[in-house]
Amino acid sequence: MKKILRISLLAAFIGMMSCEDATDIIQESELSEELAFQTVDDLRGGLIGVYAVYSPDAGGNGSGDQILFNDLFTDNLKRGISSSGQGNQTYNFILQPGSNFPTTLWNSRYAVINFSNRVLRAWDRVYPTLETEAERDDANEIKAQLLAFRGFCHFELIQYFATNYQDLTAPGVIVMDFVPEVDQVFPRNTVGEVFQQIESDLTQAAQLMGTEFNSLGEYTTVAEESKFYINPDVITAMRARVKLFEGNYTEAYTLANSLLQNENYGLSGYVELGSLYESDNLAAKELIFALSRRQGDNTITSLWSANGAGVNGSPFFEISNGLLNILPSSDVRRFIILNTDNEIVGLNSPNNILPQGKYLGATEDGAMLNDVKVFRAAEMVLIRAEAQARLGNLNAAATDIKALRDIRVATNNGGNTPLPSYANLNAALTDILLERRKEFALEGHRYLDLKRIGTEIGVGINRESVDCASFGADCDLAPTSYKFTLPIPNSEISANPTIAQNPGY
Amino acid sequence: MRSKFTWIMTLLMALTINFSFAQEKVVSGTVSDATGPLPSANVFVKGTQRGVQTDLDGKYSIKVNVGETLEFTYVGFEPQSRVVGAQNSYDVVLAEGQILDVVQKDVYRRTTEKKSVMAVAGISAEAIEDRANASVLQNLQGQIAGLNIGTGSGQPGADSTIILRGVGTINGNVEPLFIIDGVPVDEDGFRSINQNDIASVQVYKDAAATSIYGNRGANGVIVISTKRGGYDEKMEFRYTSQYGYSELQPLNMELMSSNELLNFQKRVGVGYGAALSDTEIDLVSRQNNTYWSDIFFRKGVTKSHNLAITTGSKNTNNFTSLGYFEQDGIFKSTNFKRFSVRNNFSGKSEDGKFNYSFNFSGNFSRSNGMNGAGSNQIYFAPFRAALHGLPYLNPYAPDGSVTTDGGIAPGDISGITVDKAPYVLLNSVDMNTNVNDEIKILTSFAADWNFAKNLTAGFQMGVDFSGTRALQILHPNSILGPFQVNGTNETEYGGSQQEATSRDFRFNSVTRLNYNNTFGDHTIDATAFVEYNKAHLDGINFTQLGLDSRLVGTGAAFIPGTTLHTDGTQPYIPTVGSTKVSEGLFSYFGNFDYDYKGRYGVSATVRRDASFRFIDDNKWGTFWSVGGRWNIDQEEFFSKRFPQTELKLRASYGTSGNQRINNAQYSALNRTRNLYGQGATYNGSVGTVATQIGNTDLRWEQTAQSNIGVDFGFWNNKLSGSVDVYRKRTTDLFQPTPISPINGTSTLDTNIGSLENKGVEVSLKYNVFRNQDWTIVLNANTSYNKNFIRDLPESYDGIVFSNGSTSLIEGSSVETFYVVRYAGVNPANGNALFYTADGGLTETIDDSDRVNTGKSSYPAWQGGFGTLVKYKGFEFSTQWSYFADLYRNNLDYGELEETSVIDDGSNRVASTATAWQNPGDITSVPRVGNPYGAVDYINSTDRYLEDASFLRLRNVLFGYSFSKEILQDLPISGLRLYVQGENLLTFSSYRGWDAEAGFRSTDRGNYPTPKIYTFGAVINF
Repeated sequence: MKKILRISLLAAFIGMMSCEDATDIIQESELSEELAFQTVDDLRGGLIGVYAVYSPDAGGNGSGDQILFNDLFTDNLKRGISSSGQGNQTYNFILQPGSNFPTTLWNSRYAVINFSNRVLRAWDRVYPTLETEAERDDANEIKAQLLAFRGFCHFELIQYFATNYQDLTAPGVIVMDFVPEVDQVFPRNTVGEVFQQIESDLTQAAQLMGTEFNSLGEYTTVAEESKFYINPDVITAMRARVKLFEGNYTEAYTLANSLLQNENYGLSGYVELGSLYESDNLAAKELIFALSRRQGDNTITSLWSANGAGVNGSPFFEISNGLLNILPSSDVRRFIILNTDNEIVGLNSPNNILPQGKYLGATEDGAMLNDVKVFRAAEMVLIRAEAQARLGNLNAAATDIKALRDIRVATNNGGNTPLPSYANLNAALTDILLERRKEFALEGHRYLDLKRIGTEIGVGINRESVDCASFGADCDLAPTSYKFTLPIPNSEISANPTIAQNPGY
Repeated sequence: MRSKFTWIMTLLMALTINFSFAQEKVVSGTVSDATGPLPSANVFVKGTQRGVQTDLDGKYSIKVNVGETLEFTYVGFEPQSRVVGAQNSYDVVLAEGQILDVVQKDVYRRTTEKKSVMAVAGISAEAIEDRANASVLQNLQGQIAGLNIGTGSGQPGADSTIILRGVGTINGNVEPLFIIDGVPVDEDGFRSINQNDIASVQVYKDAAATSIYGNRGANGVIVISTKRGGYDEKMEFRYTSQYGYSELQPLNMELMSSNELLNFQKRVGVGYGAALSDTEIDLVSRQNNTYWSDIFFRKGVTKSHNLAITTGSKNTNNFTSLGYFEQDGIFKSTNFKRFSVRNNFSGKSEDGKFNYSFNFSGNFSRSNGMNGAGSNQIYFAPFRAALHGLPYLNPYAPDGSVTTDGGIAPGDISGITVDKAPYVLLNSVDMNTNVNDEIKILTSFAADWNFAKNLTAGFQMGVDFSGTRALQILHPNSILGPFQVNGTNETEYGGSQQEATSRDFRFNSVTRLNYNNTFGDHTIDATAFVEYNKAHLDGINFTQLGLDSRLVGTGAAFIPGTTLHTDGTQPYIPTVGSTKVSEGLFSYFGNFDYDYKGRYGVSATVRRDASFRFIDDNKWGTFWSVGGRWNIDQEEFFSKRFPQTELKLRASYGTSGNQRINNAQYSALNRTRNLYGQGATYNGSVGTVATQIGNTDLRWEQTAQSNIGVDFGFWNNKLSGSVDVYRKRTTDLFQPTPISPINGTSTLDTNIGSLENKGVEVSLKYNVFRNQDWTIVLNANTSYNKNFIRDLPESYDGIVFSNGSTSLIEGSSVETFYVVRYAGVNPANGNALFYTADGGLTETIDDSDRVNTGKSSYPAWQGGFGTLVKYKGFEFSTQWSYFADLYRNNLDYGELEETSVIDDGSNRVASTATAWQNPGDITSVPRVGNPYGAVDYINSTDRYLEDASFLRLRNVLFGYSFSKEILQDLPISGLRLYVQGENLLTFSSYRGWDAEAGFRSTDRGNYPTPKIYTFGAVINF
């Protein structure tokens, strides 16, 4: 009897411990997709997440994304006084499937696409449960922005990774319009298929958005901050850029023109342009779309220097002498691109210290922060000029270029620059390429411009010798170089046996 | 007075004797062997826990009852016994013979070495307790075959990386399971444990030994027992103390002097020297030729005090210890302090059928450290500054003391230039705070109850609690202080304070029922177990930017978050965090042992484990093992022919699992689920983003191990040792598999691939000579482990290359360097030349030219050897350890030989002066301005891949124990004095301070381990 008591006591003791509380543990911090997205506000939260992930200005200390790569790989930068070798390989034209830039561009754009698709998937689940018209309208504008992101990121990918934008059967990038399973892989779609997806996303976005961004109040209380979101005009600007690359110049003209006809946009005079860069003035007519950068966000100034703009900000990249030389002191852009805190010793002197001035990082949002200007009226002018030139109207192109120069260079000579005269398309494109270089330096265009226009007219990378010497790098890259198309990065290759690499790599 | 006291004592004794029923009396005598008296021989009263040890002259005295039996034992000698009769003195001469069987006891089982089927190696307290390292684990290096211990930092108390029988996983936990007195403990918390409390360390290696640990045994198990009292022992005090110094090991590279560096700069036309005339260079280099190591490093003091009290009555015994340890780091302002207290209590019932014990250990340690080891942020990399500082800078302030700011004002942007990094770091060292506190409580309770014939029930539970606090203050008045708030020096207040506290509570309990019986020659032992593990971690942390310089130290200095900066922003808002996570395991298992006449034995284990990390069918894992032994020396045919020989053959096979698929504790907690989170912000709104893609198929990593071993002793154990061969295969490796970036991420951790470790371990001990005065013993152990990856995910095509210097390659070791071979310098243009994959030459580093070097950062060979010489009271011992066939990227040297840029504020090594200058120059250093920098060479080539093998005199000790005669007039019973040194000699070709680096693949600006010399005393009373 006593023994039985003892043994049952023992058994009770063993049974005291239950198994489940040790083996079925859900951490308190877990959030599932179902719980994450239940209301229209949740969907907007998902969209805000997509905005937060899209960062062409990412990077620092020599690595980066679109904004840095376009100038570093080409001819707009030189080594800064505080360099400890940042960006050395990129400047030396070393591009490989394992290189930082192709990997970042590929991975980050597909991340934006994936995140958009996830919210779109949740959207399909949540939308039928919405009860009021207002909620459904709100939801439709959310969907419009998600689709615009998806289309635009496909477009950015194809800009870098397709060899030829107009050969519709050439390999493009992977079209992703859904959330894949982790073990799924896909080959590259053709350029035609990718542009089709872009077209479909952007037109659907435009339809869902309509002509007004009605739900702006749900995003911000400041009316001017509509330029921080993909409003109807931003979708138009995206489509204008897409059509230019696609080679549909008529539509490119129409779209760019429609924005320039819009009274809200136009080229800014030098004071307003200055305020756009210096203080992120959203009211500037020049600005169509910018990415908001506030305290806690990526500091764009650190793409070029460690501790702020200016000579004392430890710049590891400075603007090149080559870029400086094409900007006469009558050109307002010289004073935007070149920091007023500089040391110019002489023409092409290796001792010139030329910190960038486009991103001074001195706005009220916090140190080293500036908004990322994605679309400006000047781009629409240049798209319109190029489209007209390509459509055979060289005079109209010249008129557009003159208009842009008048407002940029005119300050000292009465707002009147000579009307360029283009003997042929090549001459027009040469001039447009030059103007784009001056206009978009440090805004993420140069490499793509050289790829698109330069290869067509036989202009490659041609650095000032003092600039390339600063890195001990080659000065020139032929326009025929395979390096005007980025390699499909290792991150995709090692996961995806069906992917084809670009030629040369 | 004295005589009166004696008289009273005598009276009391007399009374006691009168009241005693048994004929108790004190007997004495001498224990000796053929050559003379044996000190420290054991004298026990058979069937009791009463026992004493002989003194230095082999003499003993013990209280016994007439009719009881005295047993005399001594390691390496045949035991003898005497029945106590009328005689009051028993002298015994022991003959050399059998080794006394050593007990092997872990959480679940207790067996003896002879009856064990397991591959277990152990060391006793003597091998570790005199040492001067703050972490006991560092003392184990080179002492156990197959056990790799790498310490990658010279910060006192730094954690070591422990790897047994090779790396068994790619991303999971590589370190063995640590058990202290039956309680599984955090393998990274050893700095808080007082090594003087440790009685023995046993390393469980093969499947027969580790399979019973199922879910946590895949990397082996290290079982640590602390000291205990004995029953019927009189009270004893043991006081030990050490005092000594530590200092930097010599630097194995030649740095440039001021003169050399300035002349080099002048020659290449870059840097400070470029603009100086020869006279000026002479002048500058005569003024300053600073060796920055001398400025940053120092001689540190080590001191320790320990007091241990043991006592035992008939049914209880107790061990209590108090310890204090303090060690300065060799780097300025780093140090370590520990206070520890332990109590181990044991008790039993009158009939001995119920036993219980309770252990408590409370420890507090404080480490003042230095962040930035290995950092590429030069203003935050103190060890790099000590190595790279420019020699022509003056380290002294005008008053002759070492400067604390180099004349740079706080926040002076133009003053802070890369060449001034040593000043910035001296300032940080002087002004900033970096403290890590840990409160560690280990406590356990165990009881067993022999409640019926052959049946014993047992229960044990243990708690490992760590409370940590990490505090870092960057002083607002330090040079870098003003930049801390928003990156500029424009905010009104600067400085930052980061603080993190955590509580880590781990609970373990095991309940068991044991059946043990002997039928004639057959002994059976079977046990069933249930085990429960639960762990909770919670913590809070914050970072405050902006401190009031008058109040630095606590929240009193925090500038309110609502304070406006002149630009309208609110930069002083602190960031805060809070974490809470849990882990759990549940298991039931059984163990069966069978013995026949001590000749043959079989042991089998089967175990079912559930881990919270996995779901559905993968949640439960089954692990098992079988082991067998054949004690050949127990066979008549053998013992007749080889009477003085011991020989045992062991073999085992079994499996064990690893559920810690990500190395860190409390990580990979929910990898089976898709998760979302908030926090990504845009334009001031908060977003929701996917944070994790789930892998529902996640499962246990499994290790299957086979082992064959021989334990032997020849010539009455004059030479003894063991040899083991093993093969360990890990399957279902948890590793990132590339997934297409269309998923929003480019890798997903999955169970895929397998790797293998196979090797040989040999341990030998040779008693060279022993007589009355002399003892000479040699010991040696060595192990060879071949580690290689058997399978990788198919899509990788045999190699996982992810841009670093090392890759995973099928057929090669983990962390194999996969790089482009450096071919030297092109004499024509001074560019670096590399071999292409097919052996041609190129000037471009191209990933497609990478080759498998077959070199890994983990060693293939590891071992140690030592000597012990005793003469009367003198002792002299050495302990050497070595690692061979391991490689490391020397980024320090690469940066010091940098020619891609020159004016980077760093000194150079002398060889840099041989850089290419003119066509035709034959050199190994590329031209100034060549496109590849040190990091490129490290990441992509073998230019600075160095052999990091070393042989090190880990410890040398010289001591003297005073004999009883000398001490007889003193109130103490024993006195031992010694001097000892750690790391006194190292032989290595590695170019740096320290060849040992905790199996890092790249070295840059790390904290080297020091040499330590101490003087110690042990007093018994």
